Amino acid sequence: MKKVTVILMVAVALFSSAICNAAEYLVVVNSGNPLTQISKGELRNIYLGKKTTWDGGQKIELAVLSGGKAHEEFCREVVNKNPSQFSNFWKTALFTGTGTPPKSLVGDGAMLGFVKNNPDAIGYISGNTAPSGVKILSVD
Amino acid sequence: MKNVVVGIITVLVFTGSAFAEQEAATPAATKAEVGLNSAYVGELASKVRLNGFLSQGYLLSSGNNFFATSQKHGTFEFNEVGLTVNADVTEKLHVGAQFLSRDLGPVGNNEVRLDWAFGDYHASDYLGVRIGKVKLPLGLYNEGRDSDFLRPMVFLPQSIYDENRRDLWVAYQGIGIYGNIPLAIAGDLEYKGYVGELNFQDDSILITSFKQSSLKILKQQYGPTTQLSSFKVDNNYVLGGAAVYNSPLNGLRLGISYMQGQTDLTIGSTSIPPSSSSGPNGSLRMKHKFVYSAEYTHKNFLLAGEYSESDRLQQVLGKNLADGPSQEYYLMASYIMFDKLSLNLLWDVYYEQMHDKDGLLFKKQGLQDYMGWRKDYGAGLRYDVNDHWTLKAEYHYVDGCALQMQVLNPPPTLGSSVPALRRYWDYVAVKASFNF
Repeated sequence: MKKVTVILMVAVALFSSAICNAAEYLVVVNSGNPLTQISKGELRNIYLGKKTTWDGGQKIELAVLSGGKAHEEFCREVVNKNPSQFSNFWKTALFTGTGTPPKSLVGDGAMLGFVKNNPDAIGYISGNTAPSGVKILSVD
Repeated sequence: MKNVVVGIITVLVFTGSAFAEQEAATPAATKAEVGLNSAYVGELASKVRLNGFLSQGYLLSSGNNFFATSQKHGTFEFNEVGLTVNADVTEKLHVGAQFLSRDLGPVGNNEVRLDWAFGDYHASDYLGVRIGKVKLPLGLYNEGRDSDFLRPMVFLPQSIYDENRRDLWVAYQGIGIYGNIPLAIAGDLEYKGYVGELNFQDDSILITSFKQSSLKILKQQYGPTTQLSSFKVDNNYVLGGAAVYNSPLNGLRLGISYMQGQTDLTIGSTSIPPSSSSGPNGSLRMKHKFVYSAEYTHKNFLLAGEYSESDRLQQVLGKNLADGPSQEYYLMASYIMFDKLSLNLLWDVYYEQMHDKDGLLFKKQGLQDYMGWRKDYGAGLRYDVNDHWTLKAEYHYVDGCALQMQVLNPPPTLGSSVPALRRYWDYVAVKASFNF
């Protein structure tokens, strides 16, 4: 009985954490983008500048939120860095000429506007924002 | 200066081609308006990014001078100012340049120099080409070494990223390739390779050290009144590469870097007979340098370690100054205690000769044996005030005086050849930096 209780508690903890994570951010692309899902590894490669084009050859237009809970969670979950490490990663690229940092946008509204207006854009917003005019990607 | 001009020309040529391409892509109807068309100017401006940074530090040491006259009252001769221009000319062509002014004791004195300037053609994620003056890929941190906020601590671990020898690793002028190879579920592999030349600064501690050694040998060969009349440094080539494997295990990356190169020295003195004064009479040969790197990041914790061996042959006027491999390694741990405050710990070890860890070769020359090693134990705090401001403060306790410390700690008495070096010493470094 004790074991069952422990297993249940672990399962509940994992489940609630999954719900929590799922609710922290939503990955969005332009509604014309044929993608419906993306792996976390692929998303990481995009946000670390290792994958710069979509499968069709178009250059990926990248944006990040300037701060907030969704940004923090996205950095930790997807890029495996805390926000300041992620920021320093792109600053290293910028100040050595080896890469151009993503656009930094303030708030979900700005992010949604950016993704709506750029067919090759990708971004993320808070999980509690109801997006319209963009496509939400499921993240494996 | 010649290199600065070459760099600027490189950037201008690339930027010029960008403008030409932009114009060609402009519809005919609007071409006539291009001259003062603000939208056009705005579009061009939107392709160009201007960024910069500045930092000011304070360095205080006891026992020995460290990079500057840092004992007693310390020194503020410790700053960096950089201005960076980047432009995406097309989707695949990027150009950029960084001008750097720095001061570290007798080095730099805030003269503005070209830090890097190159054109980058990104053919695909698998392969790109860079031409110009490019930051040299070596270990985990070399490319970002000149921007304070990119370094975890005030100084990078000196065993591998020694400031006194920065000319050897700061940047190459030549051609390089790079790319990223996805390995499916096994992660991915980043690679860089290059061939080119190095540019040595006359005021660097490395060159000063070689001048001092050359003069010492000249005096031994031709008498105590002999003086140097010229000292020319000419790098023949440098080549190398780096690979970083990003494992599927979150936050773990492993790397290996390699380089080799050859530099000629032409030492002039009125005492050298004309028959033997033509051509190089000294050389710095890096037979090979390997750096093995590992970094693990987990949540608020970062652990980095690197191990390196540098096999070199340094000869001046027929005498060997160094022959054989040095050994370098460090461990650095960083923990973000609170949102913006992190604690950094460092254990950093350098041996001038990896097969003579007790410094017996120095002792045989009548010098202190502890010139053969340097072991640095450091602890510091870093506070990232916001995305633009960073503050750092740290303390280091050091055993040993390797790495050209004799240059800033000359013999205390006239006629003595033994530098005034203390085996155990320490230093405090504080730095504030701003970037935009």
